[in-house]
Amino acid sequence: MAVSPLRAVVAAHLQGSANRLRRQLGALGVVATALVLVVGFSLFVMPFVAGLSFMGYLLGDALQGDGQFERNRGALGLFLSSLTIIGGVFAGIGGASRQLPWEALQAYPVSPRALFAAELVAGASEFLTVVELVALAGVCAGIAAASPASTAFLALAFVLGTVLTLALQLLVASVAQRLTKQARLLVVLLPVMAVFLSLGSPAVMKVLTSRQTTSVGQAALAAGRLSPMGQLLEAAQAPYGGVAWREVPQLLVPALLLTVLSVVVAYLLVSREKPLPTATGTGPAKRLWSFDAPWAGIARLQWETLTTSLPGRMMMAMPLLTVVLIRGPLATLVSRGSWVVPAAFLYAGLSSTNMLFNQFGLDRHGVKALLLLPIDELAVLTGKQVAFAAWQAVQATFLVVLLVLSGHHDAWALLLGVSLGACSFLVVSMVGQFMSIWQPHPLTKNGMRGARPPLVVVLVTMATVFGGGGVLMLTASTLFSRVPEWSGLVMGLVAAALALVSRAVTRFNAGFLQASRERLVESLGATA
Amino acid sequence: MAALVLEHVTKRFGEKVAVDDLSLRIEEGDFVGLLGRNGAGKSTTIKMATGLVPATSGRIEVLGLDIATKGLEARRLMGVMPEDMALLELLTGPQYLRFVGRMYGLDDSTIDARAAELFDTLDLEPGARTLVADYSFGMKKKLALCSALIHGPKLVFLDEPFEGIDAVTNRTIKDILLSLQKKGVTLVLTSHILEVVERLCPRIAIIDDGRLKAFGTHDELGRGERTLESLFVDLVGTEQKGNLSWL
Repeated sequence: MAVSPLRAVVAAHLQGSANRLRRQLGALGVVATALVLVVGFSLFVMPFVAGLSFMGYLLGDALQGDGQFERNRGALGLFLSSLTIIGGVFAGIGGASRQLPWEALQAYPVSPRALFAAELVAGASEFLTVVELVALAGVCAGIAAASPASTAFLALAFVLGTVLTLALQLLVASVAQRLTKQARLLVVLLPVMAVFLSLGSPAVMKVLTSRQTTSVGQAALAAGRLSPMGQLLEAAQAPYGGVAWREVPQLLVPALLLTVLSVVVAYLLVSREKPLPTATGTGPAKRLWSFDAPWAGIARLQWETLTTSLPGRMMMAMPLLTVVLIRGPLATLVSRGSWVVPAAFLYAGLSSTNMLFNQFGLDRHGVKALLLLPIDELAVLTGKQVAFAAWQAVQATFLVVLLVLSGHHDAWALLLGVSLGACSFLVVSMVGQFMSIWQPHPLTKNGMRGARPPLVVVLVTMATVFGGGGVLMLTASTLFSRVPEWSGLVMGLVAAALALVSRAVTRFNAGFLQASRERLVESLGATA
Repeated sequence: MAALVLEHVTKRFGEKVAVDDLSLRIEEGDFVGLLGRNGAGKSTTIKMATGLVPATSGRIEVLGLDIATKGLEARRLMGVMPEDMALLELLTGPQYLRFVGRMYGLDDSTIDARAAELFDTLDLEPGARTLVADYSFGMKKKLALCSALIHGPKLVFLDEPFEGIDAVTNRTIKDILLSLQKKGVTLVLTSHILEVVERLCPRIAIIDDGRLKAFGTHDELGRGERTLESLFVDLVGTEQKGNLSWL
């Protein structure tokens, strides 16, 4: 018997995910990952779901005439909506690399509607989505246990949440794939995130954790009540306060939202029409490069790659995100700490680890041509390191400006931060050179495909970030607390010493690169 | 009945006219070589004929079905091997063929039997447990051909099928295509290897700058004793080049 296209697409998604895991980790790695997931699920996800179920149970109690219902409904509506939205958005970003190419699917005799439905359902295979949906089910089950009469509405709330999450996931995945090609997504999202996180989250956190409800808090709770989830919760109370069918019109809001969302996603997926590349450019010809040394040529090439690629540009967003974190969600925790400024530089620097641990990733097939150039491996590695150093120097400058603008004027702290950033760059780039040669994986220049590194890279990254970063931070904070005016200079000397070590390590890595040329070409020639 | 009819088909991408008022009629069982320089509009024509890209104006009919209104029915009868192959690279070869077969509504036992035969014929068995991402270019080409044929299409579009293929596989593919033609399957082939087109395709269509320059049998095009290459060069017109000043 023939299998439906829906099942075929879902099966292909699952097979693709399993194959990717097996390819990256090997059979033993798959078992280890499964164990980690089971432990993680037991230690974090299950208590999380149990807590949410209990919360749902308390709210279910409030449904039966408690005066706090309005406030609770707003808070829970806000929470459930956020859970749905955040779950959908993050699963969309994470799952973008797994999505089957839509252009390939369109060639089959299957209607776009069926393909859309299949892609929607296949999204449920993402780990984050599973966690989010289990959590949602926990809340709904908790409410239903306390107020069984509202079970029908809660079932509807769960269906709504599920479809909303999956639709958002697909929307984000397709928008990311579509817009990142012009790198516009960041330009649009970052200012919104900056404003939201800087202004919104401290206020919301303050309101939700205090009994005094401010106007911002009232607005947030009102938004929660008006959200599709809030509406459904109100409908769920109907059996206790009136006639259930009267609440049915309230379901129009979520239904309308779902319809609009589905139409937008379907439009984005179906309306992809690629223009042909034009053979002749209209702009002025680019000036040719000239160099005094081979490493300078490689540095210029790597610089061009970083400045024109999405992953490279995302590195430039880190200073902004760092300041947003300091001013936003972490404001109450870090505003008085003298270590905030140095830590900001360390955080921004370490966030580039993904790129520094895969220095050949963006070269992809081009690594073959790169290694065929009549230059030695030391020049290749040095050139790349210089380009990354220049890119991080630009980031550090940007961060200095942002920190000064946001009220962090302590010159000694800023100097220490810059020195600490240099130290972290040198440590990460030394380890990164080795990892880039040992475990390379192809990256796309204008998207997020292949952005997930192999497990071994993740583990070494964590060791470097927490181990190396921890030692550097401990040194810097000790210096700053004892001799603040000298701390920057001392860390600068540490950076100079690390630069000398880095030179020696680069020579070693050059030998390793020479021995690994063939494997590097083979690994990066494969598709992400 | 005509297998493919294009009537005054035009495709614009913004200001760029990729295909310009193209009219063409290919009869059932025909084997047509679609020739043209890079960017001449061959791939866009195939994409329009397969319903992947809508035409800006004009009408396209595939095996009596209007591609604009009966696209799904038409696609069931077609097999397409696109130049970029568009394979799902995280699946193994058999998994991919099973996926393709399912999308065409075949049952799993039929898919597996046909996949085994295709793998055997095209010598793909050594890659049966390998991910498509790890296939060589030639193996990917072969797999793309398998996916174009697994559902038994009546009209097959092949965009550069011989690119990057070794001599033995080249021969196998030629044999497969000729046997398909004998069974009445219509074939439309694009290739820059004109010697192959010359030997395989009784009918030639030449496109230049999105327009049909010539269409007919070798005799109708007045090839005579000339090679297809010289006929092609004469028709699309080019200057004599090739002298490099420093060599």
